[in-house]
Amino acid sequence: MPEQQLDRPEQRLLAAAETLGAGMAGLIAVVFLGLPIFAIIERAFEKTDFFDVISSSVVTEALRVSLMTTAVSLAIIVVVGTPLAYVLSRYRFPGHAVVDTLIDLPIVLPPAVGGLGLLMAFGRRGILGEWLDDAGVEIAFTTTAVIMAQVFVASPFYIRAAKAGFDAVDRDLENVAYTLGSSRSGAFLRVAVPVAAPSLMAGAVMAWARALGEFGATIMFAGSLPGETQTVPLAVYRSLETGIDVPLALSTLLIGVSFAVLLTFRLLAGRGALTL
Amino acid sequence: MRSNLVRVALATTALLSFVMLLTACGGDDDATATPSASPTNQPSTVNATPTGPTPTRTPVNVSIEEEITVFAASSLTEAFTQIAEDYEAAFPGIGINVVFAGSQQLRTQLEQGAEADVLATADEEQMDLAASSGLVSGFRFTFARNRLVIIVPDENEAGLTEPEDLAQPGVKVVIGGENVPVGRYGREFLDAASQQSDFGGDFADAVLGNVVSEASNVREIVSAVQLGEVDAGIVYVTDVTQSVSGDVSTIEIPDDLNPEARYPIALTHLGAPKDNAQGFIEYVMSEAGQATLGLFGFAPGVP
Repeated sequence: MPEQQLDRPEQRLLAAAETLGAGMAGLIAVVFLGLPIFAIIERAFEKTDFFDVISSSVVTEALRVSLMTTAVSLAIIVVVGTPLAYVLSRYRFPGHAVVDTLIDLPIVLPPAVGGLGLLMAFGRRGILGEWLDDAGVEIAFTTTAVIMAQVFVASPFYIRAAKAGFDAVDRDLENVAYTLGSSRSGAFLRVAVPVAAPSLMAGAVMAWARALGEFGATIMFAGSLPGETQTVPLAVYRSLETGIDVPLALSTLLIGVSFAVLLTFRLLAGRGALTL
Repeated sequence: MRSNLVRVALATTALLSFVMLLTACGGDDDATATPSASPTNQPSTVNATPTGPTPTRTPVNVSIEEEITVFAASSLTEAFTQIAEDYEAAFPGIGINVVFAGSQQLRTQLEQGAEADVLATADEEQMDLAASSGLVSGFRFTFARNRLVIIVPDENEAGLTEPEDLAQPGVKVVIGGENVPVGRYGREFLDAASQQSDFGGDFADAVLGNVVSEASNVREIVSAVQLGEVDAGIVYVTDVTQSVSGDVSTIEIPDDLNPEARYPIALTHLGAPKDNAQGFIEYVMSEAGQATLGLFGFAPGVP
Protein backbone atom coordinates (compact mmCIF):
# COMPACT_ATOMS: atom_id res chain seq x y z
CA MET A 1 0.00 0.00 0.00
CA PRO A 2 1.68 3.26 -1.16
CA GLU A 3 2.07 5.80 1.61
CA GLN A 4 0.40 8.79 -0.14
CA GLN A 5 -2.96 6.95 -0.41
CA LEU A 6 -3.46 7.44 3.31
CA ASP A 7 -3.74 11.16 2.74
CA ARG A 8 -6.93 10.80 0.80
CA PRO A 9 -9.91 11.51 3.13
CA GLU A 10 -11.92 8.41 2.18
CA GLN A 11 -8.87 6.26 2.88
CA ARG A 12 -8.50 7.77 6.31
CA LEU A 13 -12.17 7.13 7.01
CA LEU A 14 -11.70 3.57 5.90
CA ALA A 15 -8.67 3.24 8.15
CA ALA A 16 -10.66 4.48 11.14
CA ALA A 17 -13.54 2.14 10.32
CA GLU A 18 -11.29 -0.89 10.00
CA THR A 19 -9.66 -0.21 13.33
CA LEU A 20 -13.08 0.19 14.90
CA GLY A 21 -14.32 -2.95 13.17
CA ALA A 22 -11.48 -5.11 14.35
CA GLY A 23 -11.69 -3.59 17.83
CA MET A 24 -15.42 -4.13 18.17
CA ALA A 25 -15.36 -7.70 16.90
CA GLY A 26 -12.41 -8.49 19.15
CA LEU A 27 -14.00 -6.91 22.19
CA ILE A 28 -17.27 -8.75 21.72
CA ALA A 29 -15.44 -12.04 21.35
CA VAL A 30 -13.21 -11.48 24.38
CA VAL A 31 -16.11 -10.41 26.61
CA PHE A 32 -18.29 -13.28 25.43
CA LEU A 33 -15.60 -15.88 26.02
CA GLY A 34 -14.08 -14.32 29.09
CA LEU A 35 -17.05 -13.16 31.13
CA PRO A 36 -18.46 -16.59 32.06
CA ILE A 37 -14.99 -17.72 33.13
CA PHE A 38 -14.44 -14.56 35.16
CA ALA A 39 -17.93 -14.83 36.68
CA ILE A 40 -17.31 -18.36 37.98
CA ILE A 41 -14.00 -17.44 39.60
CA GLU A 42 -15.32 -14.19 41.05
CA ARG A 43 -18.38 -15.90 42.57
CA ALA A 44 -16.38 -18.86 43.81
CA PHE A 45 -14.26 -16.61 45.98
CA GLU A 46 -16.93 -14.03 46.83
CA LYS A 47 -19.81 -16.29 47.77
CA THR A 48 -18.05 -19.18 49.41
CA ASP A 49 -15.08 -20.12 51.48
CA PHE A 50 -13.25 -21.56 48.50
CA PHE A 51 -10.58 -23.47 50.41
CA ASP A 52 -13.10 -25.03 52.79
CA VAL A 53 -15.19 -26.19 49.89
CA ILE A 54 -12.34 -27.72 47.86
CA SER A 55 -11.32 -29.84 50.81
CA SER A 56 -14.82 -31.32 51.12
CA SER A 57 -15.18 -34.98 50.19
CA VAL A 58 -17.43 -34.37 47.16
CA VAL A 59 -14.67 -32.27 45.61
CA THR A 60 -11.67 -34.42 46.52
CA GLU A 61 -13.43 -37.64 45.44
CA ALA A 62 -14.45 -36.13 42.10
CA LEU A 63 -10.93 -34.82 41.52
CA ARG A 64 -9.43 -38.20 42.34
CA VAL A 65 -11.79 -40.01 39.96
CA SER A 66 -11.17 -37.44 37.21
CA LEU A 67 -7.38 -37.46 37.48
CA MET A 68 -7.18 -41.24 37.66
CA THR A 69 -9.55 -41.92 34.76
CA THR A 70 -8.15 -39.23 32.44
CA ALA A 71 -4.59 -40.46 33.05
CA VAL A 72 -5.55 -44.01 32.08
CA SER A 73 -7.61 -42.76 29.13
CA LEU A 74 -4.73 -40.67 27.83
CA ALA A 75 -2.31 -43.60 28.11
CA ILE A 76 -4.68 -45.83 26.12
CA ILE A 77 -5.29 -43.12 23.51
CA VAL A 78 -1.56 -42.54 22.97
CA VAL A 79 -0.57 -46.21 22.89
CA VAL A 80 -3.34 -47.23 20.48
CA GLY A 81 -3.74 -43.96 18.61
CA THR A 82 -0.11 -43.31 17.64
CA PRO A 83 0.40 -46.41 15.45
CA LEU A 84 -3.08 -45.93 13.96
CA ALA A 85 -2.32 -42.31 13.07
CA TYR A 86 1.00 -43.41 11.53
CA VAL A 87 -0.67 -46.09 9.39
CA LEU A 88 -3.33 -43.62 8.25
CA SER A 89 -0.62 -41.12 7.36
CA ARG A 90 1.75 -43.50 5.53
CA TYR A 91 -0.44 -46.06 3.79
CA ARG A 92 -3.40 -45.86 1.42
CA PHE A 93 -5.67 -48.88 1.61
CA PRO A 94 -9.26 -49.67 0.59
CA GLY A 95 -11.59 -47.97 3.03
CA HIS A 96 -8.96 -45.45 4.11
CA ALA A 97 -11.38 -42.54 3.78
CA VAL A 98 -14.05 -44.46 5.73
CA VAL A 99 -11.69 -45.21 8.62
CA ASP A 100 -10.52 -41.60 8.59
CA THR A 101 -14.10 -40.33 8.75
CA LEU A 102 -15.10 -42.86 11.40
CA ILE A 103 -12.30 -41.60 13.62
CA ASP A 104 -13.51 -38.01 13.29
CA LEU A 105 -17.13 -38.95 13.96
CA PRO A 106 -17.06 -38.69 17.79
CA ILE A 107 -15.95 -35.05 17.44
CA VAL A 108 -19.23 -34.06 15.81
CA LEU A 109 -21.52 -36.60 17.49
CA PRO A 110 -23.39 -35.51 20.62
CA PRO A 111 -21.68 -37.31 23.55
CA ALA A 112 -25.07 -38.70 24.56
CA VAL A 113 -25.13 -40.61 21.27
CA GLY A 114 -21.69 -41.96 22.14
CA GLY A 115 -22.99 -43.05 25.55
CA LEU A 116 -25.95 -44.82 24.03
CA GLY A 117 -23.67 -46.51 21.50
CA LEU A 118 -21.35 -47.72 24.24
CA LEU A 119 -24.34 -49.15 26.14
CA MET A 120 -25.60 -50.93 23.02
CA ALA A 121 -22.13 -52.33 22.33
CA PHE A 122 -20.68 -53.03 25.78
CA GLY A 123 -23.74 -52.88 28.03
CA ARG A 124 -25.02 -56.07 29.60
CA ARG A 125 -27.31 -56.75 26.68
CA GLY A 126 -25.00 -55.12 24.15
CA ILE A 127 -23.49 -56.77 21.10
CA LEU A 128 -20.18 -57.55 22.80
CA GLY A 129 -21.50 -56.96 26.30
CA GLU A 130 -23.59 -60.13 26.24
CA TRP A 131 -20.48 -62.25 25.73
CA LEU A 132 -18.52 -60.27 28.28
CA ASP A 133 -21.37 -60.66 30.76
CA ASP A 134 -21.30 -64.44 30.28
CA ALA A 135 -17.56 -64.33 30.92
CA GLY A 136 -18.24 -62.43 34.14
CA VAL A 137 -16.98 -59.07 32.88
CA GLU A 138 -19.32 -56.18 33.58
CA ILE A 139 -18.45 -52.76 32.23
CA ALA A 140 -21.49 -50.47 32.38
CA PHE A 141 -21.70 -48.40 35.59
CA THR A 142 -18.06 -49.02 36.56
CA THR A 143 -14.92 -46.89 36.53
CA THR A 144 -13.89 -48.81 33.39
CA ALA A 145 -17.00 -47.40 31.70
CA VAL A 146 -15.86 -43.86 32.61
CA ILE A 147 -12.52 -44.51 30.92
CA MET A 148 -14.15 -46.04 27.83
CA ALA A 149 -16.47 -43.04 27.47
CA GLN A 150 -13.46 -40.71 27.69
CA VAL A 151 -11.44 -42.68 25.17
CA PHE A 152 -14.40 -42.71 22.79
CA VAL A 153 -14.91 -38.95 22.78
CA ALA A 154 -11.29 -37.82 23.19
CA SER A 155 -9.22 -40.11 20.96
CA PRO A 156 -10.13 -38.33 17.68
CA PHE A 157 -8.44 -35.18 18.96
CA TYR A 158 -5.18 -37.06 19.44
CA ILE A 159 -5.35 -39.17 16.29
CA ARG A 160 -6.08 -36.14 14.08
CA ALA A 161 -3.14 -34.17 15.49
CA ALA A 162 -0.81 -37.18 15.35
CA LYS A 163 -1.76 -37.91 11.73
CA ALA A 164 -1.12 -34.29 10.76
CA GLY A 165 2.23 -34.52 12.56
CA PHE A 166 3.25 -37.68 10.70
CA ASP A 167 2.09 -36.14 7.41
CA ALA A 168 4.57 -33.33 7.99
CA VAL A 169 7.55 -35.61 8.71
CA ASP A 170 10.06 -35.59 5.82
CA ARG A 171 9.87 -39.05 4.19
CA ASP A 172 13.55 -38.84 3.30
CA LEU A 173 14.39 -39.12 6.98
CA GLU A 174 12.58 -42.44 7.22
CA ASN A 175 14.10 -43.61 3.92
CA VAL A 176 17.55 -42.89 5.28
CA ALA A 177 16.69 -45.00 8.31
CA TYR A 178 15.62 -47.87 6.03
CA THR A 179 18.88 -47.68 4.03
CA LEU A 180 20.74 -47.84 7.32
CA GLY A 181 18.97 -51.13 8.01
CA SER A 182 16.17 -49.94 10.23
CA SER A 183 12.94 -51.94 10.33
CA ARG A 184 9.55 -50.30 9.80
CA SER A 185 8.84 -50.17 13.50
CA GLY A 186 12.37 -48.87 14.05
CA ALA A 187 11.79 -46.02 11.58
CA PHE A 188 8.45 -45.33 13.25
CA LEU A 189 9.77 -45.31 16.80
CA ARG A 190 13.21 -43.71 16.29
CA VAL A 191 12.46 -41.29 13.44
CA ALA A 192 8.78 -40.51 12.87
CA VAL A 193 7.70 -40.30 16.52
CA PRO A 194 10.56 -38.03 17.71
CA VAL A 195 10.20 -35.71 14.70
CA ALA A 196 6.41 -35.53 15.08
CA ALA A 197 6.68 -35.20 18.88
CA PRO A 198 5.40 -31.60 19.11
CA SER A 199 2.21 -32.55 17.23
CA LEU A 200 1.79 -35.67 19.36
CA MET A 201 2.15 -33.54 22.51
CA ALA A 202 -0.36 -31.02 21.21
CA GLY A 203 -2.81 -33.78 20.37
CA ALA A 204 -2.33 -35.42 23.76
CA VAL A 205 -3.07 -32.15 25.56
CA MET A 206 -6.25 -31.57 23.57
CA ALA A 207 -7.38 -35.16 24.08
CA TRP A 208 -6.70 -34.97 27.81
CA ALA A 209 -8.65 -31.72 28.10
CA ARG A 210 -11.56 -33.25 26.22
CA ALA A 211 -11.50 -36.34 28.46
CA LEU A 212 -11.42 -34.17 31.57
CA GLY A 213 -14.53 -32.31 30.42
CA GLU A 214 -16.44 -35.40 29.28
CA PHE A 215 -20.00 -35.53 30.61
CA GLY A 216 -22.73 -36.87 28.30
CA ALA A 217 -21.33 -40.26 27.37
CA THR A 218 -20.11 -40.82 30.93
CA ILE A 219 -23.44 -40.23 32.65
CA MET A 220 -25.21 -42.56 30.21
CA PHE A 221 -22.70 -45.38 30.18
CA ALA A 222 -21.13 -45.14 33.64
CA GLY A 223 -23.83 -43.45 35.73
CA SER A 224 -22.87 -41.21 38.62
CA LEU A 225 -21.60 -42.54 41.92
CA PRO A 226 -19.33 -40.45 44.15
CA GLY A 227 -15.87 -41.99 44.48
CA GLU A 228 -16.44 -44.51 41.67
CA THR A 229 -17.82 -42.93 38.52
CA GLN A 230 -18.54 -39.33 39.49
CA THR A 231 -15.97 -37.21 37.67
CA VAL A 232 -15.60 -33.46 38.17
CA PRO A 233 -18.08 -32.48 35.40
CA LEU A 234 -20.66 -34.92 36.79
CA ALA A 235 -20.10 -33.56 40.29
CA VAL A 236 -20.59 -30.00 39.02
CA TYR A 237 -23.92 -31.00 37.51
CA ARG A 238 -25.15 -33.03 40.48
CA SER A 239 -23.99 -30.72 43.25
CA LEU A 240 -25.83 -27.80 41.66
CA GLU A 241 -28.95 -29.44 43.07
CA THR A 242 -27.85 -28.88 46.63
CA GLY A 243 -26.28 -25.44 46.34
CA ILE A 244 -23.96 -23.25 44.35
CA ASP A 245 -20.79 -23.49 46.51
CA VAL A 246 -19.46 -26.85 45.36
CA PRO A 247 -20.18 -26.37 41.63
CA LEU A 248 -18.45 -22.98 41.72
CA ALA A 249 -15.39 -24.34 43.51
CA LEU A 250 -15.14 -27.39 41.23
CA SER A 251 -15.55 -25.24 38.14
CA THR A 252 -12.86 -22.87 39.33
CA LEU A 253 -10.49 -25.79 39.86
CA LEU A 254 -11.29 -27.17 36.42
CA ILE A 255 -10.74 -23.76 34.81
CA GLY A 256 -7.48 -23.27 36.67
CA VAL A 257 -6.09 -26.70 35.79
CA SER A 258 -7.15 -26.50 32.14
CA PHE A 259 -5.84 -22.96 31.70
CA ALA A 260 -2.53 -23.78 33.35
CA VAL A 261 -1.97 -26.88 31.22
CA LEU A 262 -2.85 -25.17 27.95
CA LEU A 263 -0.78 -22.10 28.75
CA THR A 264 2.27 -24.06 29.95
CA PHE A 265 2.15 -26.17 26.85
CA ARG A 266 1.81 -23.11 24.61
CA LEU A 267 4.79 -21.47 26.29
CA LEU A 268 6.97 -24.58 26.24
CA ALA A 269 6.20 -26.08 22.86
CA GLY A 270 5.06 -22.90 21.15
CA ARG A 271 5.76 -22.12 17.52
CA GLY A 272 4.38 -24.43 14.89
CA ALA A 273 3.41 -27.36 17.07
CA LEU A 274 -0.03 -25.99 17.84
CA THR A 275 -1.50 -26.05 14.38
CA LEU A 276 -4.63 -27.93 15.33
CA MET B 1 -6.16 -2.87 -4.23
CA ARG B 2 -6.41 -6.20 -2.45
CA SER B 3 -5.75 -4.54 0.89
CA ASN B 4 -8.61 -2.18 0.17
CA LEU B 5 -10.86 -5.20 0.06
CA VAL B 6 -9.62 -6.19 3.50
CA ARG B 7 -10.32 -2.70 4.76
CA VAL B 8 -13.83 -2.72 3.35
CA ALA B 9 -14.37 -6.09 5.02
CA LEU B 10 -13.23 -4.76 8.38
CA ALA B 11 -15.40 -1.65 7.96
CA THR B 12 -18.34 -3.92 7.24
CA THR B 13 -17.52 -5.86 10.39
CA ALA B 14 -17.72 -2.63 12.34
CA LEU B 15 -21.13 -1.89 10.91
CA LEU B 16 -22.34 -5.46 11.48
CA SER B 17 -21.10 -5.35 15.06
CA PHE B 18 -23.25 -2.30 15.70
CA VAL B 19 -26.24 -3.91 14.06
CA MET B 20 -25.66 -7.11 16.04
CA LEU B 21 -25.40 -5.18 19.27
CA LEU B 22 -28.66 -3.39 18.50
CA THR B 23 -30.50 -6.54 17.52
CA ALA B 24 -29.03 -8.36 20.51
CA CYS B 25 -30.54 -5.75 22.82
CA GLY B 26 -33.84 -5.89 20.94
CA GLY B 27 -33.86 -9.68 21.07
CA ASP B 28 -33.25 -9.54 24.79
CA ASP B 29 -36.39 -7.48 25.33
CA ASP B 30 -38.39 -9.99 23.33
CA ALA B 31 -37.01 -12.84 25.37
CA THR B 32 -37.96 -11.33 28.68
CA ALA B 33 -41.46 -10.64 27.38
CA THR B 34 -42.01 -14.32 26.65
CA PRO B 35 -42.57 -16.22 29.88
CA SER B 36 -42.30 -19.71 28.42
CA ALA B 37 -38.54 -19.57 27.87
CA SER B 38 -37.34 -22.98 28.92
CA PRO B 39 -33.87 -23.25 30.43
CA THR B 40 -31.18 -25.55 29.15
CA ASN B 41 -30.49 -28.97 30.60
CA GLN B 42 -34.15 -29.90 30.60
CA PRO B 43 -34.65 -33.63 30.39
CA SER B 44 -37.98 -33.23 28.64
CA THR B 45 -40.41 -30.54 27.71
CA VAL B 46 -43.87 -31.58 26.75
CA ASN B 47 -45.78 -28.97 24.85
CA ALA B 48 -49.27 -30.26 25.08
CA THR B 49 -50.77 -27.48 22.96
CA PRO B 50 -52.78 -29.41 20.38
CA THR B 51 -52.98 -26.96 17.47
CA GLY B 52 -50.92 -24.03 18.65
CA PRO B 53 -52.31 -20.76 20.00
CA THR B 54 -55.38 -19.55 18.13
CA PRO B 55 -54.78 -16.18 16.47
CA THR B 56 -58.12 -14.65 17.48
CA ARG B 57 -57.85 -12.30 20.43
CA THR B 58 -60.88 -11.12 22.32
CA PRO B 59 -60.24 -7.78 24.01
CA VAL B 60 -63.18 -8.26 26.41
CA ASN B 61 -61.65 -11.10 28.42
CA VAL B 62 -57.84 -11.16 28.54
CA SER B 63 -57.63 -14.57 30.15
CA ILE B 64 -59.27 -16.30 27.22
CA GLU B 65 -55.76 -16.96 25.88
CA GLU B 66 -52.95 -17.81 28.22
CA GLU B 67 -49.81 -19.90 28.17
CA ILE B 68 -48.77 -21.33 31.49
CA THR B 69 -45.71 -23.36 32.38
CA VAL B 70 -45.91 -26.16 34.93
CA PHE B 71 -42.76 -27.64 36.48
CA ALA B 72 -43.57 -31.18 37.54
CA ALA B 73 -41.66 -34.10 39.07
CA SER B 74 -40.55 -36.81 36.62
CA SER B 75 -42.86 -39.40 38.16
CA LEU B 76 -45.83 -37.26 37.04
CA THR B 77 -44.86 -37.48 33.33
CA GLU B 78 -47.83 -39.49 32.04
CA ALA B 79 -50.42 -38.19 34.53
CA PHE B 80 -49.64 -34.49 34.06
CA THR B 81 -49.33 -34.79 30.28
CA GLN B 82 -52.89 -36.18 30.33
CA ILE B 83 -54.17 -33.58 32.78
CA ALA B 84 -52.66 -30.76 30.71
CA GLU B 85 -54.37 -32.13 27.60
CA ASP B 86 -57.67 -32.40 29.44
CA TYR B 87 -57.35 -28.86 30.77
CA GLU B 88 -56.61 -27.50 27.32
CA ALA B 89 -59.58 -29.37 25.89
CA ALA B 90 -61.81 -27.92 28.58
CA PHE B 91 -60.51 -24.37 28.15
CA PRO B 92 -59.78 -23.71 24.47
CA GLY B 93 -57.11 -21.09 23.94
CA ILE B 94 -55.17 -22.04 27.05
CA GLY B 95 -51.79 -23.65 26.51
CA ILE B 96 -50.18 -25.73 29.28
CA ASN B 97 -46.47 -26.44 28.91
CA VAL B 98 -45.27 -29.06 31.35
CA VAL B 99 -41.55 -29.47 32.05
CA PHE B 100 -40.59 -32.73 33.76
CA ALA B 101 -37.40 -33.28 35.76
CA GLY B 102 -36.26 -34.37 39.20
CA SER B 103 -38.00 -32.18 41.83
CA GLN B 104 -34.64 -30.92 43.09
CA GLN B 105 -33.65 -29.97 39.53
CA LEU B 106 -36.88 -28.04 39.01
CA ARG B 107 -36.36 -26.22 42.29
CA THR B 108 -32.74 -25.42 41.35
CA GLN B 109 -33.80 -24.17 37.92
CA LEU B 110 -36.37 -21.85 39.49
CA GLU B 111 -33.66 -20.53 41.81
CA GLN B 112 -31.46 -19.87 38.78
CA GLY B 113 -34.16 -17.85 37.04
CA ALA B 114 -36.22 -20.37 35.06
CA GLU B 115 -39.79 -19.21 34.68
CA ALA B 116 -42.77 -21.33 35.65
CA ASP B 117 -46.22 -20.61 36.99
CA VAL B 118 -46.83 -23.82 38.92
CA LEU B 119 -44.46 -26.17 40.77
CA ALA B 120 -45.40 -29.76 41.58
CA THR B 121 -42.77 -31.77 43.47
CA ALA B 122 -42.57 -35.36 44.67
CA ASP B 123 -41.76 -34.45 48.25
CA GLU B 124 -42.37 -31.75 50.84
CA GLU B 125 -38.66 -31.16 51.30
CA GLN B 126 -38.04 -29.70 47.83
CA MET B 127 -41.23 -27.60 48.11
CA ASP B 128 -40.04 -26.33 51.51
CA LEU B 129 -36.69 -25.37 50.00
CA ALA B 130 -38.47 -23.57 47.14
CA ALA B 131 -40.66 -21.76 49.68
CA SER B 132 -37.70 -20.73 51.82
CA SER B 133 -36.06 -19.27 48.71
CA GLY B 134 -39.24 -17.24 48.21
CA LEU B 135 -40.03 -19.02 44.95
CA VAL B 136 -43.50 -20.32 45.74
CA SER B 137 -46.48 -19.04 47.66
CA GLY B 138 -46.93 -20.46 51.13
CA PHE B 139 -50.25 -21.93 50.15
CA ARG B 140 -50.00 -25.45 48.82
CA PHE B 141 -52.06 -28.57 48.31
CA THR B 142 -51.09 -32.22 48.63
CA PHE B 143 -52.58 -33.43 45.37
CA ALA B 144 -51.35 -37.02 45.22
CA ARG B 145 -49.66 -39.76 47.20
CA ASN B 146 -47.46 -42.59 46.06
CA ARG B 147 -45.58 -45.68 47.27
CA LEU B 148 -42.29 -47.35 46.44
CA VAL B 149 -41.67 -50.63 44.69
CA ILE B 150 -38.54 -52.54 43.68
CA ILE B 151 -38.20 -53.24 39.97
CA VAL B 152 -35.95 -55.84 38.36
CA PRO B 153 -35.35 -56.60 34.66
CA ASP B 154 -37.67 -59.24 33.25
CA GLU B 155 -34.77 -61.66 32.84
CA ASN B 156 -33.87 -61.07 36.49
CA GLU B 157 -30.31 -62.35 36.06
CA ALA B 158 -29.56 -61.80 39.73
CA GLY B 159 -32.55 -63.96 40.72
CA LEU B 160 -34.10 -61.45 43.11
CA THR B 161 -37.44 -62.37 44.63
CA GLU B 162 -37.84 -60.39 47.84
CA PRO B 163 -36.71 -57.01 49.22
CA GLU B 164 -34.06 -58.71 51.39
CA ASP B 165 -32.27 -59.83 48.20
CA LEU B 166 -31.17 -56.25 47.47
CA ALA B 167 -28.44 -56.77 50.05
CA GLN B 168 -26.98 -59.87 48.36
CA PRO B 169 -23.34 -59.32 47.43
CA GLY B 170 -22.75 -58.27 43.83
CA VAL B 171 -26.29 -57.14 43.08
CA LYS B 172 -26.20 -53.93 41.02
CA VAL B 173 -28.68 -51.42 42.39
CA VAL B 174 -29.66 -47.93 41.21
CA ILE B 175 -31.44 -45.52 43.56
CA GLY B 176 -32.09 -41.79 43.52
CA GLY B 177 -29.54 -39.34 44.86
CA GLU B 178 -29.86 -38.23 48.47
CA ASN B 179 -31.71 -35.02 47.61
CA VAL B 180 -33.85 -36.58 44.88
CA PRO B 181 -37.28 -37.37 46.39
CA VAL B 182 -37.28 -41.01 45.25
CA GLY B 183 -33.77 -41.39 46.66
CA ARG B 184 -34.80 -39.88 49.97
CA TYR B 185 -37.86 -42.13 50.26
CA GLY B 186 -35.73 -45.09 49.18
CA ARG B 187 -33.27 -44.47 51.99
CA GLU B 188 -36.19 -44.15 54.43
CA PHE B 189 -37.25 -47.64 53.40
CA LEU B 190 -33.71 -49.00 53.79
CA ASP B 191 -33.39 -47.47 57.25
CA ALA B 192 -36.81 -48.72 58.34
CA ALA B 193 -35.98 -52.22 57.08
CA SER B 194 -32.69 -52.24 58.98
CA GLN B 195 -34.72 -51.97 62.22
CA GLN B 196 -36.38 -55.30 61.47
CA SER B 197 -34.81 -58.61 62.37
CA ASP B 198 -35.64 -60.36 59.08
CA PHE B 199 -33.64 -57.70 57.20
CA GLY B 200 -30.84 -57.30 59.72
CA GLY B 201 -29.17 -54.19 61.05
CA ASP B 202 -26.66 -53.92 58.23
CA PHE B 203 -29.30 -54.13 55.47
CA ALA B 204 -29.18 -50.43 54.57
CA ASP B 205 -25.38 -50.36 54.45
CA ALA B 206 -25.24 -53.53 52.36
CA VAL B 207 -27.74 -52.17 49.82
CA LEU B 208 -26.01 -48.79 49.64
CA GLY B 209 -22.78 -50.69 49.03
CA ASN B 210 -24.47 -52.35 46.04
CA VAL B 211 -25.50 -49.01 44.53
CA VAL B 212 -23.70 -48.49 41.22
CA SER B 213 -25.30 -45.15 40.30
CA GLU B 214 -27.34 -42.43 41.95
CA ALA B 215 -29.96 -41.08 39.57
CA SER B 216 -31.16 -37.49 39.42
CA ASN B 217 -34.72 -38.46 38.62
CA VAL B 218 -36.80 -41.60 38.93
CA ARG B 219 -37.10 -42.20 35.18
CA GLU B 220 -33.31 -42.64 34.95
CA ILE B 221 -33.66 -45.55 37.38
CA VAL B 222 -36.49 -47.05 35.36
CA SER B 223 -34.53 -46.92 32.09
CA ALA B 224 -31.39 -48.45 33.65
CA VAL B 225 -33.47 -51.42 34.87
CA GLN B 226 -35.52 -51.58 31.68
CA LEU B 227 -32.31 -51.80 29.63
CA GLY B 228 -31.19 -54.63 31.89
CA GLU B 229 -27.98 -52.77 32.74
CA VAL B 230 -28.56 -53.12 36.48
CA ASP B 231 -30.22 -55.77 38.65
CA ALA B 232 -32.68 -53.65 40.59
CA GLY B 233 -33.98 -50.16 41.21
CA ILE B 234 -36.21 -48.52 43.80
CA VAL B 235 -38.94 -46.48 42.11
CA TYR B 236 -42.57 -45.42 42.64
CA VAL B 237 -45.35 -47.90 41.95
CA THR B 238 -46.69 -45.42 39.38
CA ASP B 239 -43.49 -45.67 37.34
CA VAL B 240 -44.31 -49.20 36.28
CA THR B 241 -46.40 -47.85 33.39
CA GLN B 242 -47.79 -49.88 30.51
CA SER B 243 -44.77 -49.12 28.35
CA VAL B 244 -42.42 -50.33 31.08
CA SER B 245 -44.28 -53.29 32.58
CA GLY B 246 -43.34 -55.59 29.69
CA ASP B 247 -39.65 -55.23 30.49
CA VAL B 248 -39.58 -55.27 34.28
CA SER B 249 -40.97 -57.28 37.17
CA THR B 250 -41.82 -55.82 40.55
CA ILE B 251 -40.97 -56.86 44.08
CA GLU B 252 -43.39 -55.45 46.64
CA ILE B 253 -42.12 -53.57 49.66
CA PRO B 254 -44.13 -54.41 52.83
CA ASP B 255 -46.59 -51.63 53.72
CA ASP B 256 -45.12 -50.98 57.17
CA LEU B 257 -41.70 -50.26 55.62
CA ASN B 258 -42.99 -48.39 52.58
CA PRO B 259 -42.83 -44.62 53.08
CA GLU B 260 -45.72 -42.60 51.74
CA ALA B 261 -44.63 -40.09 49.09
CA ARG B 262 -46.65 -36.89 49.27
CA TYR B 263 -46.81 -34.58 46.24
CA PRO B 264 -47.35 -30.87 46.95
CA ILE B 265 -48.37 -28.32 44.29
CA ALA B 266 -48.10 -24.53 44.58
CA LEU B 267 -48.16 -21.31 42.60
CA THR B 268 -44.77 -19.77 41.99
CA HIS B 269 -44.03 -16.19 42.93
CA LEU B 270 -42.51 -15.35 39.58
CA GLY B 271 -44.01 -12.72 37.30
CA ALA B 272 -47.63 -11.64 37.16
CA PRO B 273 -50.10 -14.16 38.55
CA LYS B 274 -52.08 -15.93 35.87
CA ASP B 275 -55.71 -16.99 36.19
CA ASN B 276 -55.05 -20.35 34.65
CA ALA B 277 -52.15 -21.17 36.95
CA GLN B 278 -54.60 -21.12 39.85
CA GLY B 279 -57.14 -22.76 37.54
CA PHE B 280 -54.75 -25.60 36.75
CA ILE B 281 -54.11 -26.30 40.44
CA GLU B 282 -57.85 -26.29 41.10
CA TYR B 283 -58.32 -28.70 38.19
CA VAL B 284 -55.66 -31.06 39.60
CA MET B 285 -57.47 -31.03 42.95
CA SER B 286 -60.91 -31.45 41.29
CA GLU B 287 -62.71 -34.77 40.97
CA ALA B 288 -61.70 -35.02 37.30
CA GLY B 289 -58.03 -34.28 38.02
CA GLN B 290 -57.94 -36.73 40.92
CA ALA B 291 -59.60 -39.38 38.77
CA THR B 292 -56.90 -38.98 36.11
CA LEU B 293 -54.17 -39.28 38.75
CA GLY B 294 -55.94 -42.38 40.07
CA LEU B 295 -55.94 -43.81 36.55
CA PHE B 296 -52.14 -43.58 36.56
CA GLY B 297 -51.87 -45.27 39.93
CA PHE B 298 -51.59 -42.35 42.34
CA ALA B 299 -53.44 -42.38 45.63
CA PRO B 300 -55.74 -39.38 46.11
CA GLY B 301 -54.40 -36.16 47.56
CA VAL B 302 -55.38 -34.58 50.84
CA PRO B 303 -58.17 -32.06 50.24
